Amino acid sequence: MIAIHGAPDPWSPIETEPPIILAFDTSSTIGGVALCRGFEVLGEETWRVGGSHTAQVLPAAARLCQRAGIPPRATSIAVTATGPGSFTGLRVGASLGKGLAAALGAALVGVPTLDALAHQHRALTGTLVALVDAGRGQVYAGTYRAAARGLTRRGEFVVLSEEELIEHVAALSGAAWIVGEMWPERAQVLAALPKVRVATPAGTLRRPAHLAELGYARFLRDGPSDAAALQPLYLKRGDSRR
Amino acid sequence: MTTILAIETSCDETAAAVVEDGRFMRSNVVFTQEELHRRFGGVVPELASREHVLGIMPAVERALETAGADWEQIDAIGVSYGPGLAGSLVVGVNAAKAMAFARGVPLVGINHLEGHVYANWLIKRDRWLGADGRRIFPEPRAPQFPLLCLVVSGGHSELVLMRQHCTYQVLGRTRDDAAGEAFDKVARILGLGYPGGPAVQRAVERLRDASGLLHVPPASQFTRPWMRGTYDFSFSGLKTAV
Ligand SMILES: [Zn+2]
Repeated sequence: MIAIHGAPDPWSPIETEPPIILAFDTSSTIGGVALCRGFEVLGEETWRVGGSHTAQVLPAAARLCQRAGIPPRATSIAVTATGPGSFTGLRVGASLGKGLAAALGAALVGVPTLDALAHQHRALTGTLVALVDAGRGQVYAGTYRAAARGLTRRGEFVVLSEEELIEHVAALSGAAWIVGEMWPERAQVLAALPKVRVATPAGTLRRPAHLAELGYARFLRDGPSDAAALQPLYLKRGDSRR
Repeated sequence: MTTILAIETSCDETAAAVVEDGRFMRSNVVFTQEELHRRFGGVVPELASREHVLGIMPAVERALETAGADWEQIDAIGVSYGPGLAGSLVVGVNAAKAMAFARGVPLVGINHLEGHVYANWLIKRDRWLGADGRRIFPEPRAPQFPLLCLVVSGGHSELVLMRQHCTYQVLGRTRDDAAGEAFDKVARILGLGYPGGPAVQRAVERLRDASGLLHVPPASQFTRPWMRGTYDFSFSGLKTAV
């Protein structure tokens, strides 16, 4: 069974013309844009952002649209990664999404960055710990379990120091996969823990096509977010601790 | 006729306007965050940025609605790109970029100070549109070159000479605080509240006697904020004197 938590099977035939979707992930120094027609991926770009998202994200979206021969104004759903992540980065994504929503009457769908990252790795079994860099040696972390209906998040998103991350992972029962932003030293320490496996470097990259897919699935299930009221998850140290 | 949708989020106001031919205001919507920052005695950048994320869509939608304009009539998007608070600017700039991208219209980045200068060309709606909705002729005369422009606000105090459009010669500027900043600080020292300008004004009004005369300490006790032999200002001495 192919499941995205309560949403329709993405491979089921669709009769109506699927909507054009643009998805933005500006949660950290990894940036990403995907262009989709319903569940069909037309293209994506994901890269290590050197300077600012502000200068790099829309040119990437323009390239994707041009390659696919789709005018930007055909977009009818904008998906943005809502975090947790860099506050400024998240505001770039939210503002881009709101701009599209205002100018085109497009639906806006906010998807937590860590949910999209876990969704990207949903084929892995056991417990999944998804990470986004929080700077200063800290990470934003979300913990997920693979279930028949799809992935289920366990607990709140948290900000963890290096030591707390290791404690958190060591305390998990059963086999666990660690995915998302990673450094060699951190990977070595985590991989040395019993029953813990760390994704390879390619698996650390967040792929915006997965964000778009999860966003569209949630749109079909729940409808659009309240575009004007949408705001990032402003998670900082001390918040949402268990 | 050129119709521009303009967006400004440099500091603590989320603003949008629809202007025809650079002069005729069809709408001018300003959401102020004054209330939010008052208890901190100044603008808190993180709070300002968050508020812009929430205000940007309602501001733009209200500006279009008040102007009776639809997106098809918008020929370009103008946005102030600085100077200002980086986190605040990110919201307006990215929303504006997305709008220009989506509608396929040019994006015009405007220096915030140029915006202040060009406010002098604007004509309020009731001065160019009659009750019957027709344009009033002759329209008010535009400022004539050469002209001298004094830009004073919470963020800046500059004296600018303009010989023609879009060319500026800064004759003088503040060497320390902006005039408005000096008012804010003085009001804080005296416990008068925030923002300082209106707070000081209100305090002064209380010194007015029954005949409307003001009884204030002689200004000669204070230093002059003008740097002799230059066109520069300095408000820090004045602040200290208070
Ligand atoms: Zn200003």
